[in-house]
Amino acid sequence: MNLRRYKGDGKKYPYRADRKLAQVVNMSMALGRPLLVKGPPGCGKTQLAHAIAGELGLPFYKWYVKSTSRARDGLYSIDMVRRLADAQLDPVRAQSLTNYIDFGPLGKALKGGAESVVLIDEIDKADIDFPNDLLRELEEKTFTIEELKGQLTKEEEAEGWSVTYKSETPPVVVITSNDEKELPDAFLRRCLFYYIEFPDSEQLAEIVRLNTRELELEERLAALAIGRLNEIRGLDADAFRKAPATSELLDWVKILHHWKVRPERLASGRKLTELPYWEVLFKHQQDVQQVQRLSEGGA
Amino acid sequence: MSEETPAPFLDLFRELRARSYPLGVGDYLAGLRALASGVGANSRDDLVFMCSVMWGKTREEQRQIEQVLNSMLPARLTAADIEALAAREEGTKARPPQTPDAPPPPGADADTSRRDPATQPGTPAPRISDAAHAGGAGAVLKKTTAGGVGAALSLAASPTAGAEWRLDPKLDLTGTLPVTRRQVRTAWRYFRRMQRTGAPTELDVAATVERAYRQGVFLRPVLIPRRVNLARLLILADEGGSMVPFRRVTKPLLETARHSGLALVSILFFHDVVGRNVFRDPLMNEPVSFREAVEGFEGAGVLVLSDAGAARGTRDARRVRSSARFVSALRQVTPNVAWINPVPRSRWPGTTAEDVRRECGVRMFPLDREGIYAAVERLRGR
Repeated sequence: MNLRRYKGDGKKYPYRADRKLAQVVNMSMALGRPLLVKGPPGCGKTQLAHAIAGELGLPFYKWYVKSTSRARDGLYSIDMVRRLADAQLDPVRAQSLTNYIDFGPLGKALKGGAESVVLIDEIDKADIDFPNDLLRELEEKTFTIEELKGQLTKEEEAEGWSVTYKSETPPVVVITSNDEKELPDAFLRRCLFYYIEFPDSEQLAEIVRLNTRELELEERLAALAIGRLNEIRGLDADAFRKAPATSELLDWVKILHHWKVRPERLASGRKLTELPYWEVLFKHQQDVQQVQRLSEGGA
Repeated sequence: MSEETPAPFLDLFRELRARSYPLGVGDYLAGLRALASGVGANSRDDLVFMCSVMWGKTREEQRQIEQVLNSMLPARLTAADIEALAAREEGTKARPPQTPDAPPPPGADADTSRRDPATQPGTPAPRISDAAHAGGAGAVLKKTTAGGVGAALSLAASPTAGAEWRLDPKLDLTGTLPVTRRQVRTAWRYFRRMQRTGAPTELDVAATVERAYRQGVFLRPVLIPRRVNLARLLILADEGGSMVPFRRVTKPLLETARHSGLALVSILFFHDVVGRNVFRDPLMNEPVSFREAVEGFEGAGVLVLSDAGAARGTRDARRVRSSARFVSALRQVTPNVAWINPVPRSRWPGTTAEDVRRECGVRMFPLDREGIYAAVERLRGR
């Protein structure tokens, strides 16, 4: 049984997980089941995996899923075309398939043997069958390179090559999803599921504090900035294409600090559009216009 | 069975299964491992949280599981109790949990069904609605299991004979929708029409070798486009009036369709019958002409979601006629038309729905699991 405990107290890695989230992470490790996290943008889904690896001091493998990703890409890929080309130019090298195999993040974690953390980021971007193709690998912590069957020489085996790799110490697998697509049932059954809520003011203050340790940030500045952020987020749930979240807040606070803006300038009496550098908080032109409209309307 | 060797954790698990949460033996064993590892063993809240995280796969499911557990577990549960629970479970671990569908042994209900309602700190109502859903045999078994929890945790059990099957006014409908979100989601996955399209990115090994062989030398690989799902779906959803009571079931249907990852999904709204216009939004502020709405859906799947007048329970000849016109207009766009009617099938006869079905020759399916699966088959043109 795994004895490691994730605390999420932010001491070793600047990430604060609440008690429940820390408990789910520990359950995921104890059960060897992947942890699927969802939540609004900026709530720290992706950061969680970084934090687990950082706090526990484990090797970290990141797999950023794309719309063209296929399950096998995360395990290994074989450059067949190169081999075919080499067959004419460098026949000796082309003899051995292992010269053309490249391991993906999950493959590295499973074959590495040591404990590790794997992040499968935004799994919902890929084809809807993608998660199903990973079931065996995630459940049994094993994968097979079919193409290597009957191909390995003694020397290659001595080098550590093998047709099937099985991890004795299962990696901690964190999977994030933005709910763009529904995930298949069979896949969900094998995961633990946790929904991370958007952090409240106190947690936001903690996040700012942990991420701006090296700056000597004025506490009042951060508190006021968070207050204004919450005000914007509270305007109307559907008002913005992308409501400002934690990463935008951090950018804003850092800029405010960098330009030595006095905290008074964030005081609550002012209109949103009069806030210094408020544009940093938005990513879309239409959101900027929306703020201007709302700000005028509210005046 | 549970009354021989008390296994309260197994009972919790069975109760959830009986409420049609798709849990398997693996989930139960995972629960035992989690208990043994001590991650969920500090307090009652921890235990409830542990089970919900492990077994619930959406926020709604997790909340419902928490509700069920909170109503089943005794109000006071110390860490020592939970430890005892884990230890007791050790003894029963070897036996796989029996499925709730298995018939109970004769006489099992006689001695255990008594103690049930009063032992629960929460409301006993959910179990009754459940019983109605699952039918006789399952219901009896569920009662035994619930009794098992109370008994095993040595709760003060005061028998309240005779009152069990009275329908409770606080009837809980949360756990017993005719179809769950997960089931609909799965159904959409069967709506596939795979074709190779787009930029050539995939290596065609056979063609590459073939070309290298013919040319005597390998020059470059042959690439082909990937196979992608080209299935298109147009949903025309009746909204307002008689459809309002069914929102709890129709909303997940529409939402999952929108996120189904199909090549093209369009959801449009109408009220009662489709006229010249349909609407982009359920509040019907944004009209779009029918002709424009079906553009790009030639040969696609079209799903009509409407009670077709069944909710009113009467016949309306005008509605039948305009429905017929609408369906025949649809038929000119695509042959793959399916109609889902949220009113239970038993209430179609004698209403407009029956006539619409007969006169328009459209396949009408009830809004339950089988119905949705059959409708998806129809959308695929089968």
